[in-house]
Amino acid sequence: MAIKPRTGILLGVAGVAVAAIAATVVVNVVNNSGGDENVVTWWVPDWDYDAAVELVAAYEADNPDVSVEIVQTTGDTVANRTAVALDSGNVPDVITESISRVRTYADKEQLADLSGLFGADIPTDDFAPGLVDALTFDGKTYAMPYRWATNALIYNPELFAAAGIDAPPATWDEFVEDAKMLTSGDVVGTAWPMQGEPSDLTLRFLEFAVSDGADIVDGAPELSEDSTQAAVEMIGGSVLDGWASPSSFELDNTAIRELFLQGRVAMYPGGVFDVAEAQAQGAPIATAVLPGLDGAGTALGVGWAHLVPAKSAHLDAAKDFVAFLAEPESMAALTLTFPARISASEDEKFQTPERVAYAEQLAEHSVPAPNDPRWTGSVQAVHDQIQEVALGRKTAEQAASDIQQIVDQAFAE
Amino acid sequence: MKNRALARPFAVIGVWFILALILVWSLAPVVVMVFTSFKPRDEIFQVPTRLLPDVWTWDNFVTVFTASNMPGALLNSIVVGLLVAAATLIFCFSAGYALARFKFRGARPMALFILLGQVVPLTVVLLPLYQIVSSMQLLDTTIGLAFAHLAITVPLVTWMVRNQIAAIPVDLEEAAQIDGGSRFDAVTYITLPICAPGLVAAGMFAFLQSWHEFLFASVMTSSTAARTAPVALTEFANEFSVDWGATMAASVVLTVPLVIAFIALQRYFVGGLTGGAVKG
Repeated sequence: MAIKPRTGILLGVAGVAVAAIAATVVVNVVNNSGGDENVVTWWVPDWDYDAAVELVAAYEADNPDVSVEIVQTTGDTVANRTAVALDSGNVPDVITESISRVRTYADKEQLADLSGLFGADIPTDDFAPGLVDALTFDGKTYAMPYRWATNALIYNPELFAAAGIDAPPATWDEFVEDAKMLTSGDVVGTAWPMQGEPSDLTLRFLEFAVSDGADIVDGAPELSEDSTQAAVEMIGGSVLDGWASPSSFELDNTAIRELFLQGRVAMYPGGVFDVAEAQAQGAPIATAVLPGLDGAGTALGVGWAHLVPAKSAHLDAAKDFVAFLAEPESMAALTLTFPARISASEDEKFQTPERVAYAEQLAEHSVPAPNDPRWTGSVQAVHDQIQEVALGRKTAEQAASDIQQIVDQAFAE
Repeated sequence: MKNRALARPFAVIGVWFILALILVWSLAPVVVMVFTSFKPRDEIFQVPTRLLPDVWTWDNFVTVFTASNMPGALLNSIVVGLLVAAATLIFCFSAGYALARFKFRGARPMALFILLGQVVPLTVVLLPLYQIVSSMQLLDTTIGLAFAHLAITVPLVTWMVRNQIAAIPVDLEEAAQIDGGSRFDAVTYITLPICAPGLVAAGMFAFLQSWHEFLFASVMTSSTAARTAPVALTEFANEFSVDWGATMAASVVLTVPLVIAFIALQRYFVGGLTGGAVKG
């Protein structure tokens, strides 16, 4: 039977489409299944990309038999992508990832042991206090930290002067007193990031709690109801009392910084990146260490590290490349905040006057943020409890009790 | 009678009021997005908040088109969307036709089983799909992502097409065959033209699903060469801050072509979705 023209066209189009799909698969399988012994694939967040390109050029110049292929990731996608890659076993050779997630991967035995890289060239005591320990489980270190940062107190010296305050607050009592004095007209004493990433708020909560006696042991917070209540009262109560912005419910870190730049928020705990941004905008800014109960408060360190997946096809080359990235010059080139190694901090870009407070905070008054997956799984619930207090639906005492229950339950599972 | 006549205008006003409320509720975020995209940075966080910019600026759009990977990502989104739409139509028309026309044991359970794919959360199928795409060496390629998107589109579109075809009297195809045509001829000359509006709707649906899909795209594409627009949107949020102006401008760029396409083709879309609704 003869095929009619339109039927022929339809069958032809369908056949060509299916053949094209099959051919594409075959070509890809043939081209990519071989693998290249000398290519190290490195997943890099896009904010590090430009510096990474220069570092790779320098590395390849010293190691002509190895090439490094850079793949860009974004801050919002790197966690998901890394988790799926590690779960599937189809992995790159080096991944730049948040330190807070390292323990999750290490618990699943998905990371290579990098302990052997530490020694005379990369001494552990050259790193920020507690940092290497926070990435070491059962005697094995599973990541090479390279950038590290904490909050410090950012304040507007002009607003302070106008309110008759001549120095930044050194204690919680002074912080509250100053914030009340600064709150007037369009200006509020401070603001909290209750919108956006829940961990932004819980990090501030933990900074208050740790400053008041709570501890972080083996990546997990050990809270007491007293310290929790005091921390919740400080954040939630400040919104109720009016010396922290009521718009905190709608603010993330970016929005708080923008309100600070507009002169509407007088002070807040913020990162060093905000300082650079304020200076670029020509806004009045000064910094101090965080206030604590009786003196300097404790900040929680957060940062990024290089990981080598256990199933990397080029383990030795990957470790060698990570060792190169751990050199002080490489670390200094790869971060805008602070390098993880103290010797790398000598670079002049980390020595500006506004960074002095951050350097002191990091070196003397900081501990690594918790990275236990059971805590990170509780962050949203803890955030919501603080918000309940700010909304006036719960007392700080009730919220502290509920937070204790949430954390106890998470760690009991 | 008089009461009923009086009640009618009130009912009409009530309906219009509710419709207006729904319209405002639905469009308010879009309006905020559009106006924010034209605001300079300092106005975005202005207190008190204003809807309209004081100073209108194209800077955010300039950033999107000159200082980001969005142009390439938009092209990738179009390529992936078209691949998904084409492959969906080829696969789902074949499957839908078989389910609607051929009587075989287990046809009904199989049709229901296919629909199960629509109710499984995407995160559940993410890892298996990743491994399948990886085994075909298609990670970080537009065609690999299109494969993954088929897992989203195929279940529902198969059902849409099946219902479209089932609504067409089989007598028409039989008449064509009695006149000497093959089954393929009957499908090509009778069935396909009749359910064309439904296929346009199905193709649009597949394209839309692919266009705004984020999870698979964020995991299966790693380089900018295959990154689609929803993933490229995350480039405007770095570790420490979010460029809301550029994010909104990119969202406008991502949304407007789609709205225009939808308005142009909406009569097919509505007709296609409701076609076959009375006969399953």
